[in-house]
Amino acid sequence: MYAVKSYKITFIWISLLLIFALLLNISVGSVTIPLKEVLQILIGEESSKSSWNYIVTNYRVPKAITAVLVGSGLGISGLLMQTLFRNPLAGPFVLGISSGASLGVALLILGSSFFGGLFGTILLSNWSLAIASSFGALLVLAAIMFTAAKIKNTMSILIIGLMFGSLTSAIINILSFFSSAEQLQQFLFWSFGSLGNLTWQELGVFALVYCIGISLCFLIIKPLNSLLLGENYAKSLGTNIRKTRNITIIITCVLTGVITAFSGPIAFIGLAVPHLTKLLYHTSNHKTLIPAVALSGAILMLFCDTIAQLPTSENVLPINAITSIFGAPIVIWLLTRKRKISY
Amino acid sequence: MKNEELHNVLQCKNLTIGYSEKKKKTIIREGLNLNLPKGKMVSLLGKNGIGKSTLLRTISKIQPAISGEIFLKNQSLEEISAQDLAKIVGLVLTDHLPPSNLSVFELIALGRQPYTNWVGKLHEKDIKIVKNALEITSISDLADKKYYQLSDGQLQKVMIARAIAQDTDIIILDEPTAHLDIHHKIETFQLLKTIVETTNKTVLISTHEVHLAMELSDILWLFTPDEFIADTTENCIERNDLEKLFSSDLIYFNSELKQFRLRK
Repeated sequence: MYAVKSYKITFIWISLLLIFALLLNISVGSVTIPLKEVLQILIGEESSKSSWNYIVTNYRVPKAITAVLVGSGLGISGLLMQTLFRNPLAGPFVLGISSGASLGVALLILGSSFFGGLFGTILLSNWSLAIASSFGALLVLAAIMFTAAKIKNTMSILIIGLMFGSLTSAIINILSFFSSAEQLQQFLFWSFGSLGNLTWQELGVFALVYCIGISLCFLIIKPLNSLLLGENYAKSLGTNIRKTRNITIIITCVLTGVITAFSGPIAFIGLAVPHLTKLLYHTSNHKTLIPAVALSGAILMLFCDTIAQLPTSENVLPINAITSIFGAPIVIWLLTRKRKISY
Repeated sequence: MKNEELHNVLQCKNLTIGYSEKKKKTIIREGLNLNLPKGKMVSLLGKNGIGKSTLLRTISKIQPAISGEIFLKNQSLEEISAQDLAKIVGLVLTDHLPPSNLSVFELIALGRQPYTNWVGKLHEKDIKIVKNALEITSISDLADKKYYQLSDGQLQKVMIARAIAQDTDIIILDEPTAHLDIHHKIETFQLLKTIVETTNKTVLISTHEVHLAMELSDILWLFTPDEFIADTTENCIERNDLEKLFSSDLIYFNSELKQFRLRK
């Protein structure tokens, strides 16, 4: 009869789709490698060309793993924000995290002229970009937690996050104004987003922080479900609103912070994936939604990246453009299709 | 005195309610002494803005009292944890639900949260309690519907079922019949009466339905502009206390009809 629905079959299908997306993503690229050879490399055997081994293990696999982490992390962050702010258009970046990260990177790239050339050239490695953007994201996180502690109304935090976003963009504009064309180009490329370029070592750090963020999610499944009734009802069910709010904000900041640090600000995934998932599963229970959103986020990101590779071509499109080209129509379609948006 | 304490699930001593913002305090009522007896249906009557909702919100710890003490089952409200309070007081509010995909069953099952584990897993017992709540409110056929597909009357029953599933000593309802038609108003009041009679829970309702409140509640709490009156329904009618609710030139209370009538 009624009661608790099981989503086992849907989960099995989606997991199979994820495996397919992973294999597709790994086998496609500027160098054509037959699927059979790719599989051989993946199970640890030598392929017919040693360069193929190198490409797959040191470039394509890390990139695919990055795509999985980025897609699932942004999807979950978006879901958390949509539930916390009871707003279907909230996403991982509403708190101004990506703007904070951008500010960190902008200060590093564009501000290097202020701090002298030496500082700039030494520090412009992947690590320094990641550190700078984490620092920017942390700065915004601190500012948001500070204001959140003083504010009772959850909705105000949303607006304050947007304001932080505008403030940091303004500072970036000023920095851009005084920067050279070369620096601007470098910053622009960072803001396009990129899933490649990560070494296994960097990926390890990324995955560690990601896991910390994800494991915190389990703490708030129950309180987030109670928030579906609104804050007063949630309170009457014994939910500690302030604690839930703080944990949710911290998870979102950690996940989007680390994602932006390693792959740049990636648009629309965080907004579109939770909606798509809810359409597919027809539920609001976060116990189902969190893993479901993680899976669909990973799949969508892998497909977007596969398309960005422009199979058989040597060019790689900016990943941010692809996610937006896919994400924006999805959001428009959702808004026109459903009279009543649920989140 | 001892006996009285045993019978009261809720006591307020010298309670002052209102809103405090920083240094500015807006006092709505002061010096309230209330006793809510166990297993009774109590209706809180009073005109708009007199502090009915504020009182209910203060008792249920949604907003803090300005001064005075509140005791639930002889424990000070201050000392009761949110988790324990959720097992004593269940609410039906006028708040709109934020949009979601919740089904009726899931919505009622959220009432089990104070009893479930950290991820909110429902056990056999919880599911049985939810099904029972569906039956008491006679909405078993709606269980699989999404809550946004329901009419106002149906949704109100779902919210009451949720409070029943929460299995609390007291159920507090803030104007539960405000936007219902006369049929659903009576149905809701009768449902609440049945709950009191069959489960020995205490039901406290704030309402503007004077007639229904008098027909069905055991005790009336009257918030008049000047005083607070708490007595059995019969006594209130006998003394014509309801006349004091509105010191109005427009209406008077006719105790035979149990109705307010226009002054002509």
